[in-house]
Amino acid sequence: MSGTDLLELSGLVAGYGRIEALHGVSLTVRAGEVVCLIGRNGAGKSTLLKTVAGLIRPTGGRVLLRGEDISGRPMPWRTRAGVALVPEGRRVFAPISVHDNLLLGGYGRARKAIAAGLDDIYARFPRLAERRGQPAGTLSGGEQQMLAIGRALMAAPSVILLDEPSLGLAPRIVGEVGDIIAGLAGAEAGVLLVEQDAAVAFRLADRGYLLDRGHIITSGPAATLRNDARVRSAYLGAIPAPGEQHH
Amino acid sequence: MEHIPGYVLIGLSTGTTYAVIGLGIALVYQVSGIINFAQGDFVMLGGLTFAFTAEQGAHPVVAAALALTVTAGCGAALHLAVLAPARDAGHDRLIVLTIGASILIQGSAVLVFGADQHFAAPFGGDRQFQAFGVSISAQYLWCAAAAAAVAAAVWALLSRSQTGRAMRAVAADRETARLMGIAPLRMGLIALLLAAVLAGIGGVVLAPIQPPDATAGVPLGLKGFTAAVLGGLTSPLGAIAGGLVVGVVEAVVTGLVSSGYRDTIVYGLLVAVLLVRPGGLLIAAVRERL
Repeated sequence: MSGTDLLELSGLVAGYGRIEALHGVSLTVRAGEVVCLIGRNGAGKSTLLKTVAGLIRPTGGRVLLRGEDISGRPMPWRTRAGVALVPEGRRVFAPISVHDNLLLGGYGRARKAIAAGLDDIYARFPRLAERRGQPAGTLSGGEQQMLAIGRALMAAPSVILLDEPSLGLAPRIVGEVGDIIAGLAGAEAGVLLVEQDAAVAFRLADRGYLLDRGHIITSGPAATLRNDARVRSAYLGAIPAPGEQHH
Repeated sequence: MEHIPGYVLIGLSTGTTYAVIGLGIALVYQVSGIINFAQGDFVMLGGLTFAFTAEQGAHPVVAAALALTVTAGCGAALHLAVLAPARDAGHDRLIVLTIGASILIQGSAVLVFGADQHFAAPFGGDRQFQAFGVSISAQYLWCAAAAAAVAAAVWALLSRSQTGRAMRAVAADRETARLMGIAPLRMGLIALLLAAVLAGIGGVVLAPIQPPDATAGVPLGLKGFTAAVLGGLTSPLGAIAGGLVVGVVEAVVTGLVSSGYRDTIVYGLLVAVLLVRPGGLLIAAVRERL
């Protein structure tokens, strides 16, 4: 784990219209880390990811990427600067082919960079290569999640934001997607993960933050957090006891 | 009844123009969600600029280039000055704005070109060809060639270029397209610019057959709209097929019944499709291809 803060949120205030969903949130993601964001429905997790991606303009606080304030930057700029969001529900472009979905992930990049990115994605996800000509809407849920992640990787991101990647997937597929996510953090890249499946979240994450009604309640290493009563209550007891195996 | 093949041929010939107009309407609707009722006026503007400039003695190629420049400029102005600033107004109000733009373009055309028709010579001389017992102006071959070229160019753009992919992405899921770094408004501008140029091309090749005046655009726009609706409104290929259908229906009704019922039948078809199959007659057949 390197010590540089890849992504830093400080005192972030944001919401939808007049409804404020985040009341001054601060957190950091370092390169090489998977950081999970835990909280009940409506805690503000998706709002936070969308604000970092630029879909929502913050009304206060700052979003820093490698120390630079990007709060006022438009979304195309953030995409090129290395912020990628894999949205909740995957949101692949259903009528468009798998191949073209991936090419769209590289929108704005040089032709050579896109070609290299494609080779990399197809090597990493051979199943996408097999289905490259199919409309993305015909893929299974797990394949669509792979495509959504692959599409985000086409932008060569350094901050990867994942919103509920295991939602609606069969348990067998959840493990597979988890393995993919575990491989995303690297020397240059960090992951901020919103995940309702506690077992998945704590298996993947190095650290975590508990978000409740727009405030960070607690944070710490995943191993500590998973035994925190407030975290367990946020997951409504869906957490396996320590030592219990998860498949 | 033995004349029907001839009527169909005439219909396909006139239908190429409706196809080009409908293609532009479908493109803009797909990317921006706006039905552009000024699309017919772009055809008028292109044809009128071409005929007027050619009457002044300009070389046809120069006149055509000028016509396309004027329609492209008009399309860009419509997007930048009217639709983009009003983008939060909701689609129904944006559609009303395009009707306003249509009236404005007609008024401006009367001021610049006068209220009279203007005439352009057919490309390569005034020739007719005979087929299935009917005589058709050779200029229609230019219309058909222009429509085919335009359709191929649009297909190549949408399926082969990153800009075309981005336009389809905006059509499929606007918010997620923004996540890819695509600017939907910019795609809307490109779609409208493209639609205006398509209409301009349609207007130039049609001008020698139907000498345009400032009011020529509205019926053409409505037939193009009918074509786009027949094709399901979001399908470029469907709009092209729809345009040919509109042309054939029009020609067969004119030939077998009376030209007096022509528009009644065509717009009746529009109403019937909107009531019965609002997704378009041809949508199932062509949806997968784009």
